[in-house]
Amino acid sequence: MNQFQYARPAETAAAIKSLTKEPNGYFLAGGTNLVDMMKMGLVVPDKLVDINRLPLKKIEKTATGVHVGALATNSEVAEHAYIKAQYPLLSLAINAGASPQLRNMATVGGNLMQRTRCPYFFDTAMPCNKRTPGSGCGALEGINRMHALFGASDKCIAVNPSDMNVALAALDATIHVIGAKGPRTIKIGDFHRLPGDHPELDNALQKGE
Amino acid sequence: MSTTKPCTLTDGEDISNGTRRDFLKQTSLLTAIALTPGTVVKAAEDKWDEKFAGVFEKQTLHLEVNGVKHELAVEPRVTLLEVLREHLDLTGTKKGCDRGQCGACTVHVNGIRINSCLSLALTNDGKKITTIEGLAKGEELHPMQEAFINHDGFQCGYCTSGQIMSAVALLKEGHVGSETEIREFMSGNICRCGAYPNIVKAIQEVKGGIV
Repeated sequence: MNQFQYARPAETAAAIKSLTKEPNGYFLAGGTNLVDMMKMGLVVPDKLVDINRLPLKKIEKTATGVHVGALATNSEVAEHAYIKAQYPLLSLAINAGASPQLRNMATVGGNLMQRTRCPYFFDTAMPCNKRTPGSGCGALEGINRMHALFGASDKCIAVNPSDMNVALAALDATIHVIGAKGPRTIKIGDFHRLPGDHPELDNALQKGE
Repeated sequence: MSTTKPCTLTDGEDISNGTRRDFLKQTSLLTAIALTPGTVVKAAEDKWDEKFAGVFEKQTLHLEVNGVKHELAVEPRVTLLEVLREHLDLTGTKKGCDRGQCGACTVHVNGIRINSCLSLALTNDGKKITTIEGLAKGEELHPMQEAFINHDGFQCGYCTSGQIMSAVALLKEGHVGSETEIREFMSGNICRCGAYPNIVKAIQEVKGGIV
């Protein structure tokens, strides 16, 4: 794994500031996806901002539903008494994915941010418009029976790997985003982008969010 | 750090007293020095490594591992697994796939089981780590270790420390209602020898003992 700089701020504002000056920087939460991709050389960051100390871990009942912090782990959500009682779909969907150890590490924010991808994205010997824009798509004429039936383009036919995201879409969740320009909300249906001509863009987040 | 007696290449008796690991470390080091090109030696003399270190500095890491407190200096890219094995010589935790898929590297962080290969060491600053070496009380094995022996819950043994760490955590999590549930919540630990039926029996025995 290549060298990178590492910062561990204690406040959300400091974390956002820490990355706005760094074009090739990433937030690190559970690390199950990011560290994996760094080991494979698919992501080579200059800087990681470890956000695990930020106060974003709470799961709270609200007037209209439940608020889940971005740093709540997948296990904490799946095992939460209120979520099991009121949103069993979310609990079951999370427990259908990964392994207990990974669910103990992976966060809800990181799960949402998982890149839409397929095995050809991980295979650096094959072209992939998502990994290297303009290089082509190995899956179009390759082994693709688990790929997208709807919403695909001639640039990319990958599907989002997250079970949790499917449940959140069914439950009509709203995502609360914090960025350099302040907070905003995005409906789950508007968060993940269809590939179109730019499969390298996975979601609706702007720079600095 | 290591208390094992160092071995040399010339004295056969010393090699047999040292560990295989020490032997490999030392012979690799000698080979590396012999093969190092002049440019690298020159770079080392010019202290390039220290200049790089200024940018990618080692950072202080506090860990409590199996009840013992450690203060270490590690690069950000070092994983918890590497710290345990390479810095603290706790080689009971295994590196299998190094991708979070096999579970051989399973340890407990603040009592919760995780894959130490995907966790950067610095993320765990100030936390309590339990590895397979920390389960037994002196000569007295943990009940799960006893049960794995009683039920022959392993063959080659490479996955075993991860299986046992996972099994101990599983009992605490409570997902041991049925064989199906045990198998589902042990699915993060792969055993290529296929000792699964005996692993399940071992977990059921310990579960029975607790109830």
